[in-house]
Amino acid sequence: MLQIRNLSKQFSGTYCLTDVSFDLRAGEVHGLIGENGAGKSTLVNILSGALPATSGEVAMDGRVRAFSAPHDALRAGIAHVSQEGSLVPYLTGAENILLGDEPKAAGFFISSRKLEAEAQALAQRTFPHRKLDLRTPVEELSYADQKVIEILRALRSEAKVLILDEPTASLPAEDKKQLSALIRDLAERGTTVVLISHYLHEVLELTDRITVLRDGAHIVTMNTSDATEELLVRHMLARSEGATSTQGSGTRQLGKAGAPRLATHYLTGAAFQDVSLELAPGEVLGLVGLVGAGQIEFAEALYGAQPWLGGQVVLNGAPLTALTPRKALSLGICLIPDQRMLKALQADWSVRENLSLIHLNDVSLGGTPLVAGTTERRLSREVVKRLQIKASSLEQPIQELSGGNKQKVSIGRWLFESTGKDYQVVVFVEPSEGVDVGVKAEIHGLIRAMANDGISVIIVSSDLLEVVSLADRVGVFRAGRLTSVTDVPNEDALISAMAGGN
Amino acid sequence: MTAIPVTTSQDAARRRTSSFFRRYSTLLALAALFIGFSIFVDRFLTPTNLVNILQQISMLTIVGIGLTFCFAAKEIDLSVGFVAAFAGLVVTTLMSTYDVAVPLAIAAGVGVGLVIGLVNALLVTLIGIPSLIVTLAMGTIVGGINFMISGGRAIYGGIPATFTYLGQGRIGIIPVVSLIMLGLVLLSYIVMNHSFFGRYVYALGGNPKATQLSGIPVRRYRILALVLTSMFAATAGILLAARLGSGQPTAGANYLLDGLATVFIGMTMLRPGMATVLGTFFGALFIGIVNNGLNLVGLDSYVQDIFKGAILILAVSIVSRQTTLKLL
Repeated sequence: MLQIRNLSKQFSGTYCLTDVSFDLRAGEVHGLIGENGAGKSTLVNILSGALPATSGEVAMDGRVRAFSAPHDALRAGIAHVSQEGSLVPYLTGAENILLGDEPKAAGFFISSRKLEAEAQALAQRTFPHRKLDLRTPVEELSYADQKVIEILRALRSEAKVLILDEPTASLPAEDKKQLSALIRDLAERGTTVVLISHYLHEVLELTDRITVLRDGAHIVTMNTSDATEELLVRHMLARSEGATSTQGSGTRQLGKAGAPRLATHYLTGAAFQDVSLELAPGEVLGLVGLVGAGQIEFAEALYGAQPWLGGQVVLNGAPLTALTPRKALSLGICLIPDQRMLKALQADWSVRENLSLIHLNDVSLGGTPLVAGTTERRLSREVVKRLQIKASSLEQPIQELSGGNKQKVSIGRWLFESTGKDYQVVVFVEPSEGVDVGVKAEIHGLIRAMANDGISVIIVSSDLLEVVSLADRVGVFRAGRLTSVTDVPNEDALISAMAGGN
Repeated sequence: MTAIPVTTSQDAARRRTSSFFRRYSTLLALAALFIGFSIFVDRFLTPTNLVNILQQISMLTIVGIGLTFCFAAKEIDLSVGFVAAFAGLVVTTLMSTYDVAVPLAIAAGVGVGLVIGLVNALLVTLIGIPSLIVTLAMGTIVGGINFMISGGRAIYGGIPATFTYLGQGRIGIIPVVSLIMLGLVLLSYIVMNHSFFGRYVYALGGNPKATQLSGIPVRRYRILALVLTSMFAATAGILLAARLGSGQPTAGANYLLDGLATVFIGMTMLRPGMATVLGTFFGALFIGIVNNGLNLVGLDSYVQDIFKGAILILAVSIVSRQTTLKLL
């Protein structure tokens, strides 16, 4: 019914979507899955007219369609319910459903009577078995009701294809069940539903067919009856072809005999529970898990960037009961976070200003609270040289650098006026996020060098090959818990562990 | 796989020119204005008049520099005008009614600014009310107190000459207020451009999350920025009282809007989108020259207001094309 043919999308030189082709059938529920950055949102944005494709085409009922704006797609019958929600909180359900399409009275005024009747009729037609209060401001309704209202709004223009982006993300279990029933109901009456979700069991339960994307490429479209959770995870993550995922540094001799550098005891935060592990000096520990499994939040908590709700962290035998980034810094714990432009760098600042921010005290002008400009420039230049950061000058705005060089600056902030050898624990989250192959290798070299200097390193990454090739041991997170720690990591075993199979 | 960004020297040259105009177009406009007035307005380009301009902008510049601190932290303070009047009233009342020594009275006036700034800052950082709302309410409160303590009348009599000297005296041909103002500009310039404090305040204004994750006590610096704003407003108010020789409940009424204008005009130059000390200083100079020139031409003050308003809108349009202004 809807064919996607050779669709590609290029953003400033890099492909986010490469030559994707598959089709949607009338009345099916079609799951669309992939890790963050796999290209799901880009694909959906092209389908719903929010983004133009670089090449390729979309055909509906055999006719090639090009949408230049969301309302074009809507008119053609493709509706998109986004993840964040797009309701006006203080308008009623009925008002939201018909927003911008209100029935007029006397040509000018909105007839609230007609409005309610129309919205009610649409609700009756679409979800005959669901009781909905359309007269209450939507902010007072449950999440499930709000989602239903969003779906009704999307459907008011007779959508043939309904794209639901993470519809159950923050729903309580009972509401999830109701929404699932509604989705099946819609499909049975001929609407094609595209379901994007990180919850694989939900996708397996609800869909007829599933498409997996990875790194912008179409991996597979399969019947749900042939799929298992483990198979899907394998498709989402495995990068085995062409890469030798052999030999980690697992064979290295570690000073494991002595006391651990860092130990957590039942550490609990908002997104992880009762995590206990030990980290030896000079050890590289990988942490992996599906999106939302809690491994990133756990890693951030070790730097005090996430609150601890319970448990304890022991650093070199000294127990810590609370931690702030400032305290972590003084204890020699570093965090090189993911999403560097959000969590590490100042977009408007130069390379120099970004590099020196953490260690400004080290470039003090003779102990005063003033910055010694020449020292700052000298030390910045040293970091730029050591990490081979490609910038036209120290004063170049960081926004103008490539992803890889931004990441180098994010790391270089910690190596400013310090070789980094004094650090106790360095936590990397997605160290090669949006970084090209060459820089990735350099970063990996840097991580190995740190470990050889006796620093304990934690790497959280969704790139399993990266983890396998760097880590001595790998811990797997599932639903907020550390479920296993393996000594000789291999990609296959990790995928099974992440999916929860055995 | 590795994408190499291609930049031709032409591109680079174009970027450099465009960034030159982005940084300096307002300064060029200021220079053009200055030259225009010099040519077409009699008595504009005379030493006396230039010194006059410097004197006229002194208090406004101090308020503007104060606002620059909180703008750098992406906060705003709408109470500056009322705080200035309050500090002026406190100082004059202490001297005229209670015979308090001049230095003590001045310290009390600046202290009043410190306390009000601290209350603002704590409401913003601890309770999390946007500074726009906190300082709007605080301005209203302080404005009420101003009338309460003064009974709506000016406070004068018994004010020592050493105090009025600050506002009226001159060293050579240069007014003392202008020297104080230039000193504060220099000090603030060093603080904002060369000290840890300045770096941290700009950092938290630019990206609070990244700043906190860099181990910087974000809350402390946000508080300090708001306190400084209020202290500078109080200082301007004290100098205004010294110039007028009296405390007035409505003094400094135009400081808020004019002060904001200096910051916004400043944000169009040097580092576009960022509030800088030098930018604000030039912004104040801009407003001072416009006021003075139009005055000499013989235009009424309400016509000047129309010009000022237009310049402000122009400045903000330029700034908001470059960055998204977020004040709430």
